[in-house]
Amino acid sequence: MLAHIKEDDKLKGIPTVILTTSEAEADIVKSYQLQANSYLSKPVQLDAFETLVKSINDYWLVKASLPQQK
Amino acid sequence: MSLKSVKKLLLVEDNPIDIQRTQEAFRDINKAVELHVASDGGEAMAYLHREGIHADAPRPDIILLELNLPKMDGREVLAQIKKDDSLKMIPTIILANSEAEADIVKCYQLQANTYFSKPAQSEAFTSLIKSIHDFWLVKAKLPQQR
Repeated sequence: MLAHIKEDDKLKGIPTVILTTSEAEADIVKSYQLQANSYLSKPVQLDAFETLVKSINDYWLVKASLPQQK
Repeated sequence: MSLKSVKKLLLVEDNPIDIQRTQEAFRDINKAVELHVASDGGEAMAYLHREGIHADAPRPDIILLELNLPKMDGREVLAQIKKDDSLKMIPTIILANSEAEADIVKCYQLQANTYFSKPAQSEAFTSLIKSIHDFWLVKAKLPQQR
């Protein structure tokens, strides 16, 4: 899926953040090789998960400049 | 704090004021961050390829890159990092003075990991550095150094 997005000139400019239960080093390396914009592992605990979602919101949707939709 | 947890950042920036405020912000947030500075694009590439005086340069965990730089500009530095198989995994975050839509689109096309425009106001700037620190050095999983 990530490889498809990042090979498509129309889609590759969309920030793609991996949110996964895997913490395997091989998955982390492969995702960054394929140009994932970031890799986050999903906390099992509910309040840690909520904190992470807030942090994604603040980082990507409040502070970052994103490309405009066409 | 163990040596392993010391994070290494490469700041590519030519403006002394921005270098200083970035250094001060990181010093306040986390003393275990080692901030290396390259002041133009050519020096950044020499650092990353460990050429000349940079032979012993540590590989950075993340790169903070300004776009408007002397010698080789930031867009070219980004393009070179992202087409080099040994460097493309290093998260490269644009900290630009430009808010031009063309720059934002171009940098994401070149696979910048995030694009930020630098706030002029110092509190907002410090808050941005805190967010970058928290997101990349606390929450995100980074590829291990080789």
